Amino acid sequence: MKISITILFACLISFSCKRNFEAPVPDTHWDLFESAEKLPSVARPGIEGIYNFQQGSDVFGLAAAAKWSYSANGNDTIYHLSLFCEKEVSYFILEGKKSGDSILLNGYWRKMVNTETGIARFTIASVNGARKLLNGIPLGSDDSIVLDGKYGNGPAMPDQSLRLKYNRPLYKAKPLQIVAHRGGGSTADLLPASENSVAMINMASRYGATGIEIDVRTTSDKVFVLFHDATLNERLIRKNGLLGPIENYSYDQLYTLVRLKQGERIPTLKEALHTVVYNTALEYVWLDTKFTGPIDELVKMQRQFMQEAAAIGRQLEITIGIPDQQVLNNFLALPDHNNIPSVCELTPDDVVAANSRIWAPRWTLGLQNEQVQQMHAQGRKAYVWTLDVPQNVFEYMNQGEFDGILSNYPSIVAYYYYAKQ
Amino acid sequence: MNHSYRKGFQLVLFFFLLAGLIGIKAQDIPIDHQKRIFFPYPMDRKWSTSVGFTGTTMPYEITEELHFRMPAGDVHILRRLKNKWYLDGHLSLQGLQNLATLGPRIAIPVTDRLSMAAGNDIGFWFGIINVQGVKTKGTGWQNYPNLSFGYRFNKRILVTLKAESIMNIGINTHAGDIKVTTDYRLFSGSAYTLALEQPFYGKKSLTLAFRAIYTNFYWQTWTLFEPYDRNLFFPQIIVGIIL
Amino acid sequence: MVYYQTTHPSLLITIMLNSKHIILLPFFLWSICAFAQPGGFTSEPVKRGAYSFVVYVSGGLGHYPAYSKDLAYLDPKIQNVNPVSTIRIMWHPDHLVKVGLETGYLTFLNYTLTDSAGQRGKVLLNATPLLVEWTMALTKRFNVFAGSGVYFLTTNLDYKGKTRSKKISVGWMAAASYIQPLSKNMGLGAELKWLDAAESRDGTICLQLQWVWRFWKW
Repeated sequence: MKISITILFACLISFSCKRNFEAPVPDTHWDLFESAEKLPSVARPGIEGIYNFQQGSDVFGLAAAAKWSYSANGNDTIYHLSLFCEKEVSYFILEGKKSGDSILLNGYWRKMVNTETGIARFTIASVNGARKLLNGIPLGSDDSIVLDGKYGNGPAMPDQSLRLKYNRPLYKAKPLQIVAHRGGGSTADLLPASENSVAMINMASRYGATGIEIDVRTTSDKVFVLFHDATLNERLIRKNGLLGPIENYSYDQLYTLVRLKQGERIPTLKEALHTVVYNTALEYVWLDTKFTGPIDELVKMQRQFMQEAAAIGRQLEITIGIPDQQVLNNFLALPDHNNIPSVCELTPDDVVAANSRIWAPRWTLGLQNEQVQQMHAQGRKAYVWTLDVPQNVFEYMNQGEFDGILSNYPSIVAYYYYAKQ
Repeated sequence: MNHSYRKGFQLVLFFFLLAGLIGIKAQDIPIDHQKRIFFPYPMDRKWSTSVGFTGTTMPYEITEELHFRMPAGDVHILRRLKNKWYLDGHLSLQGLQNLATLGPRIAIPVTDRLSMAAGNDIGFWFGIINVQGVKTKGTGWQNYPNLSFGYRFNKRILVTLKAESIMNIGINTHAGDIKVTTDYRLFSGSAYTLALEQPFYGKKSLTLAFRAIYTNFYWQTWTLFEPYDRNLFFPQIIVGIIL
Repeated sequence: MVYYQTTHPSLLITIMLNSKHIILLPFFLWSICAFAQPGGFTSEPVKRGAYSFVVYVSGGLGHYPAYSKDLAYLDPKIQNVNPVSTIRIMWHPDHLVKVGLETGYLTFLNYTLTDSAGQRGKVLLNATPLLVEWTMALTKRFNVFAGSGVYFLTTNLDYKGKTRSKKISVGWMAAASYIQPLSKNMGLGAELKWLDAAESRDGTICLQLQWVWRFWKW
């Protein structure tokens, strides 16, 4: 009897173990960084490039692609330097400041395939390129930028050495649209924001995206909102007793009662596109049409925001996504559909019928180089979705002829792209 | 494990504890000739077979909105070797994808009521499924070292706790002609089974079990090509009729 | 009823201390038991070859352990205790383990809220379970149950309009009951039960009065 009780208590403890996964962004407060000066804009472009890891390659891979991005909020613009690495889809997201003749970079790192994260700090010393960068002096062939730093695990202070040395510029010969899935990433990947949220759209370019794909649904009062799943469920929202199809609820009900997993409200499409135009440098938006019914109001919004972007000198393409036959039929019913930018996931014949600018086949159908070339001959582009396995991303980028890749892990797409030679 | 499961399980195990404390007072019946599959005890017959089904609930991270329970046919065949040794063969059948495992066991009675067994199963799974018009094929080898403890209550109630390590030795998957690389760890997780076995009706006995699987690659999800390196929780119920 | 975050070790005690209605149930049960007939109905197997069908009709109250972090942004008034009624039919073969089906009606979540403009709203999450269950008599009077199946969930929302929405969720249950025989084929008892809709991660712990009737045997 004692043994049975012991065994059962062991079960109790064993089965009671919580297995919640989290990857909270650590506290990156750094006194030296807080007291430093703003980094002059002339210093930023020279830092971009491919760096080789001289210390830290066992954790992050052989090289990193350094790329600046920004998010604007009124008159405030925050610049982030991302280092995209290969091993386990890792990246660093840093901010930069000037400290005397040196440049300080402060932020955090994360591995997307698991939940490992931690603080990261770098210094570019004056003799290692900072003086020239800060004064806008072009670096000569004998100069080299060196990032000396440390990283830590979780909330712990960084204590493990990192050293990166500049190798060459970023590859930009043949453009590639790096499209982040669901506005920047999936909720299950434990990013600081929920998928299909305004907060996520603001962060997308830090993860390497040049464009985003967002999922559009309608409420019972015909308001366009961003939400992937057909129903409100535990995966995406905090528990509140509301279940069933999102289209059963009005926008007011969703606004008041629903919070996404990281606490955000479900955004309207209008809020999302406003953020893209006025707060980011994203060049492309794929509106994945997840509702049945007429799409003329969606097209009106597409036009409005493309015009607003053009008015402020922003390069932005917004395409209506055609994922299935029903949406295609609704699209073809529009009188001027030939002039509406769209991206079609169906067959090449459907692409021609809709006069879509972009053909978007599923990656499991293969490289389809011949069909992609046909699309190019017609003046169209081809984007492939959704590629997350790094080896497959590399294969499609180097052996395929696609103009864009849709991924939950835009950082690995960015790494392989910018590191091309 | 999420909050609900934890509360519920604690309740179930509380009932077990209560049962133990109440002390099922009845005439003690020896284990000889009692049909069993999970219970770790030397076999008294050459063959022992059970047929039933399992239902495994997929986590949100893998199947997103489609939070469904994957049913599978479940067949266990035990074959006595000699003395305390026997072979445990298991089939998990879903038609388009299936898993077969086979391995030896050595069962050791510790006391009159408590016994234990150790074993190691080699597993092979294979599947051919049309995923959105693309013929997707996969095969994989697995290894499951395992340890079981069993306690015989009165009234022919046999309770077994089994712990397994899940090892993925090789995964080979193709979507059409494209080879898909699935990253996996050699030690991919573990599984814990709580099984109850006892006579059911006529001469048939019943296995009722719950298996808590924690793994970063569960073979039934091979078509989803998920890149997560996290041990996700897959709860599984097992029902079998021991023939 | 104020909401709070419960933890397992004190769950049962917490329910008793905070839910006056549930305290009344054991007293009612005790008074019934005082007049009950000794011997009589039992879930234990009677003899080899004896089979029967038994119906369990239960009614009582369920306590929903509200998770303060999830709902905090609404500042709701949660009614944690709600009625639960179930009916179960079990096949009793001539051994210990029995199998059957259970259904019923319960309320998981029930709360009201007031938004920043002062507008009130109400949310009710109801469920009809349909579960395949297994049971075993541990003693003559004490039984344990476990089962799984589906819950038909319905949300009733009354806030800036009325919305009713449905969902089917996989789910499970576990229970323990004590049955005092009233006659050879009838008993009265109490059941402590956990009902769980896994997909929406909603669970409720219920205490029910239970009437049991062996209505067919062969």
